Amino acid sequence: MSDPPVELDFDAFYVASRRRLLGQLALMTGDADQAQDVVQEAFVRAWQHWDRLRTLDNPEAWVRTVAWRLAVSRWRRSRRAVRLYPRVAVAEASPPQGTDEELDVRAALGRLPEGQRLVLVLHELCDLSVEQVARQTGLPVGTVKSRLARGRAALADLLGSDSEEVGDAQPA
Amino acid sequence: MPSLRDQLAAAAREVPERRWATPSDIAVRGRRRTRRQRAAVVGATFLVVAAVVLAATGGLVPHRAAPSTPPVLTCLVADGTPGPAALPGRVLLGGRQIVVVDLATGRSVPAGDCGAVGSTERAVPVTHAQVTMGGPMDAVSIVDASGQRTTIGTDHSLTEAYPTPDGGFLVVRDNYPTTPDATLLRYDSNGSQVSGPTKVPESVVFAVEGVVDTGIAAGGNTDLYIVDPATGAVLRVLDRFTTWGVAASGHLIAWRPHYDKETVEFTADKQIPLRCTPSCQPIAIYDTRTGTTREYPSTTPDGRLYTSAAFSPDGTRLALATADDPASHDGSTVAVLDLASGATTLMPGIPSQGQPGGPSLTWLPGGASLIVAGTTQTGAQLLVWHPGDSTLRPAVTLTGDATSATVSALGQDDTAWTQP
Repeated sequence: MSDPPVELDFDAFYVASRRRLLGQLALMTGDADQAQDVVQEAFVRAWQHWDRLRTLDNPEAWVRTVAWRLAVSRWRRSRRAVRLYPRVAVAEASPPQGTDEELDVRAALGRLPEGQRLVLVLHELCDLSVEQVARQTGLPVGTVKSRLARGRAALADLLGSDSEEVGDAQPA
Repeated sequence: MPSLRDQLAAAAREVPERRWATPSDIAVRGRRRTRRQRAAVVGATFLVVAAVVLAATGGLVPHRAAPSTPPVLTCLVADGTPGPAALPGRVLLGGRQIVVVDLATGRSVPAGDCGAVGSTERAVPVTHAQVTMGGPMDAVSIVDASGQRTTIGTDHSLTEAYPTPDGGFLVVRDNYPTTPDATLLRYDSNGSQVSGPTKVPESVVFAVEGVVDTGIAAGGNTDLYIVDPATGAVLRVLDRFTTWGVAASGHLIAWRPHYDKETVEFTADKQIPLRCTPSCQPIAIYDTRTGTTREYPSTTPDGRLYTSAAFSPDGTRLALATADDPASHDGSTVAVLDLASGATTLMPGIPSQGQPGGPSLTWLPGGASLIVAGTTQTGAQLLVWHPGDSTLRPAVTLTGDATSATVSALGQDDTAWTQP
């Protein structure tokens, strides 16, 4: 049986995964507007390489990683002066949506160091194991575990709860 | 209490979204990008062949700027033809669109006059040439004072360039998705490669910030690494230094974050720290030459937390700024800290509405003056301050896209524009 047409295959992938990736990238970057920009640009690059990507087990992971790299690159390129506070989200152009609790979670995530935020979202939201997070980020497994622990503790502090409650998901 | 996983999933579901590009829009953009990349390869091949033919027939005379050529901003004309359009005494303003402004007249240079620094490129000043980045091919190129451009990378990898204390520069190339690492290439001031390619782990190169005289300041987000550019080996780890910057002289600023919400007062949107009660952790300055760290106050005498900083070119002073309090809009305070004596010179009342970290700060290469990019409700204003003077001199007022401008100083020295 022949492969389905590339165009249809990609279109279905794009429509099915873009909203999920937006949510993940928005939490990783702390900026919903930028997240949508980089997710769409990552899909453009995925379209270019679709012949190869469509054979991967998880092309969505490829798009997520490229989108994250694009976000980091934008941040690096726009940066001129040193910001002496933790890298936090800039004000969103769109009005915030969600309950107070959800906004608190996003605000708290935005105040975590990028490394902690990234591994927390990859592990807790994207359901990657610690080993998969380590492979995707290039970090040693021990570093991923320590960042998860630090991130959970910091998040618990920021959300005003104790770390056992927010840190109940165990590393894979 | 829901689990962390459930809380994150709920927060992700509620992220606001704009209208998405249609699948056909994505395909159109993909085809366009592919065409551009192929055209770049064809163009580069053509230029190489043409250069070989011209050199063989005596029609090409290699030219490189003499070592005494002052560091000026050079650019290409709009059609891509190299042109010796030197622009001394001007600055680049980076916002949604980069423009070039003559500080003496306050006028921007027409976009057609300077195609090399268009909307997606930025320039890194080096001693005898300019390194430009971005553009339609995501290229890193050298444009020397004669207008000659040498392209180092033309693929779509994510690349960065940083000036080095010896007047050269370092290029970082992200090798993803081929391999999960990055490559370092070091060049001298003439654009000749002096070391590399050196592969380093992705986790180290992930956030390269600059080159210090003992290596490369780089790192993850909880630690800061000093990396050997020749081998990629980590020479030193500074634990829990998460924010940093590098002076042209190779000094390093590092800062430990302060997450204790009981002592830090944030803005109402919880985004910007304003002050601490009773006190904030100090700013730590790590000296790469001595390997020692010295601490300085992280607030103004009245308790306002510094939120941005920039080293003077020689690394002996640090310019600092506080954020504007949106509750009072009483402006930001800019300070210059003498690192040897610890003395601070203050200038309060800088308008910086809408700038999360306060006004951006840029030293001019001579180190005598500071450009402060303040913002009001109507636009951006560049102010010139000689630390110690009682007033700032307005230099340029901009509207539109430049309202969140940051500044790169590319002039030879500040004498070129202190005369109105």
